Amino acid sequence: MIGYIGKRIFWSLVIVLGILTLTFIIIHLAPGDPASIYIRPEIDAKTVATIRRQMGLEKPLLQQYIIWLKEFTTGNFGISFSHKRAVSSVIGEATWNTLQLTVIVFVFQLIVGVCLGMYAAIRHNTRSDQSINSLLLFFYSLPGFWLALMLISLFSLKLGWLPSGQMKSIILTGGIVQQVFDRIKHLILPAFILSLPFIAITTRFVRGSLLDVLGQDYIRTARAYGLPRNKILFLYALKNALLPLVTLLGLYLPFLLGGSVIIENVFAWPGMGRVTVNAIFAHDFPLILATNFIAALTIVIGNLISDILYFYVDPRIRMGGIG
Amino acid sequence: MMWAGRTKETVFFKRRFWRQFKKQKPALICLSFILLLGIATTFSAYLTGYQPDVQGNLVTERYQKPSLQHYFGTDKFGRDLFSRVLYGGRISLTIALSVVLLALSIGLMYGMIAGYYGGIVDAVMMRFLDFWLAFPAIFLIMTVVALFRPNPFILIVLLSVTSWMETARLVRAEVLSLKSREFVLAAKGLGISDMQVLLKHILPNSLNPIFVSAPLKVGEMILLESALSFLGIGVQPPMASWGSIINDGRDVLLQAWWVAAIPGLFIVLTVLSFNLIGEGLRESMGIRK
Amino acid sequence: MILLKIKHLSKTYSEKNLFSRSRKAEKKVVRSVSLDVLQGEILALVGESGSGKTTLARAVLRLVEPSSGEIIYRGKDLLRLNRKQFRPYRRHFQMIFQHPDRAFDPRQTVAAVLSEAIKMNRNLGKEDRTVRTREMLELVHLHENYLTRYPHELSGGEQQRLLVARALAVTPEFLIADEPTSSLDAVVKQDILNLLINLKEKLGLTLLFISHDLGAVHRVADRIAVMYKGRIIELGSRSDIYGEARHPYTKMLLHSIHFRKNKTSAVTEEHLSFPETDSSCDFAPRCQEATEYCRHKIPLFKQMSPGHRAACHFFQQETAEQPAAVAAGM
Ligand SMILES: Nc1ncnc2c1ncn2[C@@H]1O[C@H](COP(=O)(O)OP(=O)(O)OP(=O)(O)O)[C@@H](O)[C@H]1O
Ligand SMILES: [Mg+2]
Repeated sequence: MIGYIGKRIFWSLVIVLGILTLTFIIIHLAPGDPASIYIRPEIDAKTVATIRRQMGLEKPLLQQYIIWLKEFTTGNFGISFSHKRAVSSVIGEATWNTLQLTVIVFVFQLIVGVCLGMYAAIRHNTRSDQSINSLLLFFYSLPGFWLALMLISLFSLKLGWLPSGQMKSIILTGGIVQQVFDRIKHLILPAFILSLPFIAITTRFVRGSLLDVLGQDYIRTARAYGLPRNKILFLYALKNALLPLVTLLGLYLPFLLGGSVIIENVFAWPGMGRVTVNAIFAHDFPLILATNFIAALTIVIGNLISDILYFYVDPRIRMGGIG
Repeated sequence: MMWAGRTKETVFFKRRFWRQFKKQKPALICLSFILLLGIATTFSAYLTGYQPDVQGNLVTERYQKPSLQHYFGTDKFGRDLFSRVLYGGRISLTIALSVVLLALSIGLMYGMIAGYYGGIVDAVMMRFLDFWLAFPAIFLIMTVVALFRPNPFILIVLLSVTSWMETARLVRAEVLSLKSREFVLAAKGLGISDMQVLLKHILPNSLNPIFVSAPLKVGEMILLESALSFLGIGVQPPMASWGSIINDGRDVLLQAWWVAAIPGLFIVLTVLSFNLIGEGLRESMGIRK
Repeated sequence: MILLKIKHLSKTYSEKNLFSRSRKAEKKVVRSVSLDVLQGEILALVGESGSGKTTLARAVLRLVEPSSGEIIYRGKDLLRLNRKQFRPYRRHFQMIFQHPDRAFDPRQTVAAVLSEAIKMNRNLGKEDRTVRTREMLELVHLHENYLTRYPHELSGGEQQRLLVARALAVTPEFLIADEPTSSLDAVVKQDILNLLINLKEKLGLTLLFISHDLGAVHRVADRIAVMYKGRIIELGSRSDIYGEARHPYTKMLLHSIHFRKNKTSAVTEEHLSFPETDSSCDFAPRCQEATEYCRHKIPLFKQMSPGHRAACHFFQQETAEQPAAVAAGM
């Protein structure tokens, strides 16, 4: 068991190192002096020289690489030009904001997806199953940013029910209850839109694995012993069908982060995605590299967690059958 | 990709396939729509009297409602939106199709080599694939786009190198199961060279899952490209794609809803069509999820 | 004259797990088989299902890589050649596969199947190839308009005949027929058997004929090898085997022609599983005559009479029931 988890952790570290290396390579492949990546054009030559020395750009490439690795892994990402403060503090805030959005999306899509999937499985090969399937295909084909614009123009601009962006109202009075309520109002549209494709995937997954489990022998046996149909569904099948869901966490993370980049930008949600895109336009390279790294790290850790969860959930791997 | 699966039985012939595919009504309708769209975007110059990037009279021709003169209205520069949507569609479709072609080729080669050689080659290649899968594609794209000036070529390359992995996995699994099949042994037994066996017997029989996944991938790529262009880190002006046109309409959602709404509708219809074609292909090839 | 000398050929499948290399389950499917194939003979290989006949055949043709051993052909050890060096030899050895429904590329028509094989003879022109395709079809009694069909559109028997045609189209010197008559009805079966005998007599083709069907074996075989759990346990001429079989397993096989299903002794899981050790007679658990000695010592492959060998500790003892009647009845 330790061996399995140890192997996974080791592998995650390798990936992180690979990502760092690749980033380093990309920086050095980019046109121009790597220093120009870190330095704004308007700064005078003398300062440039100092920064170059500080960055160790005179040293051999290998040494630069090692220094860079050390700085990066200890969380010293440098100073953000556009925010004029330490990258780590910018990122800290943004990560927290993104986390609020993504966690809610994850939970919401899980609830809706599991319910829909169960319903579709119970009613499989009927009209309602087919309509759910078509609906999912439709969800999956929607460009989120466009849907966001359409819903904003309806619910925010026309009807004025929901805010069109940001995390909180500019003038906000009242206590914690009002604040929470305000946050929820800001979350509804982005969270709903970001959930749609995931609802589609989860529903399909739950439906598929439920039908798989339902087709298996022990469910038939249980049915033969006279357990009522619904009870069988919930007692046996559900447990076995839902356990593999934990692996989806790892699968979802890259998509979730990618999706949030887009949605955050439409809704001016001050999370990682928005910070990154703004950084791109500001040519704020320390910030770009750092967000890139954090995103990669998140995905790697997410995969690691889902692997470990899966390990506890699936007796086959625990016994060392498949690895 | 999520919807694709592996072939149970690799029997698939043109004749039988057409017989089956003809029964898939929604897929057929979608296919005709895509073909029509392809023709319309390619020959857009002959369909409208306007040019996508020529500005109109900034006083009289800004933000005109859809009318018989401008089917889809005009934007803030008085440009005809109909011709812009067709032009943007050409760019979007070209990019998406090129990406899929490239990604599938990379995935095909990668999967074939890994599956065919097996052993240590396979193990190393699959490890690298896992690594690549763990890489957050959109962030990589954003980093590169930030460093280099984005152009369609870079965009195509970037999107391709971040989306070949599922194909590689599918192909590898197919090749792995095919290479121990008796008909492959039989071909080897005849004295045909390894390369020929791979190209003549293994490759054609491992293509089915790729066929099925191709339309789905095109849809995915249209969505991704339009999102990037919408954010301003994809297709750059003066070029336009559906995503960047939607961005043009972002600030005038109420005054000129058509600027954002219409290209978006085109995205939805196109992606939906590709997905339904994919479903139809899967049904007619008898591939289970 | 010896065409092919097989020496201590073994094939071990190691069912290793990609992730846990330590837990390796080894399965010795072919165990140190030595066999001489004589030029122009029909050598039959019989044995129960799972005894390793197909694996042996494939190993000889290097369709699976043998784990160890030698195969001497024209003074050369074929197993020493690398894959590329070996390829030109493939033309000389062909195989009729056991499962006709799996042996064809599902995307090839009958015409494509045959022309691919015929192309292996480089010196044929295009017209010659068409003529040859026709000839091959005729040879196995398939109608010309089958050419545009796909293998899965043929019946099992037709597929089997197409397999024969494909193998012969390469003009091999040595042909392994892995149960070539298993899905044929009596008439076609006689046809194919006659064809094989004909090929031997007219073209001097050498055949390894793998079969369950002891009737067919009796009809075509010059010599017979009996395989049990990966080893050859008896080898002799047709009259040796049908007349004076020595090994209890061979006798059991011959016996079971008459008592098809009701077996002489019940077969259990243990009987069929592959032996882990090489320290006893493999057949001992099923042998009614087995003694303690049999369970502790491996029998040698001893010569009974010229050309007749058997691996049984009792080789000197004559047992009462000779299945002579069986042979006579064939
Ligand atoms: N690729 C493989 N991996 C592992 N084991 C195998 C493999 N191929 C065959 N075996 C095993 O080797 C044994 C012998 O198989 P083989 O096909 O040679 O038997 P056979 O004598 O031809 O049987 P039959 O008369 O049924 O055709 C069987 O137990 C089989 O399960
Ligand atoms: Mg066999």
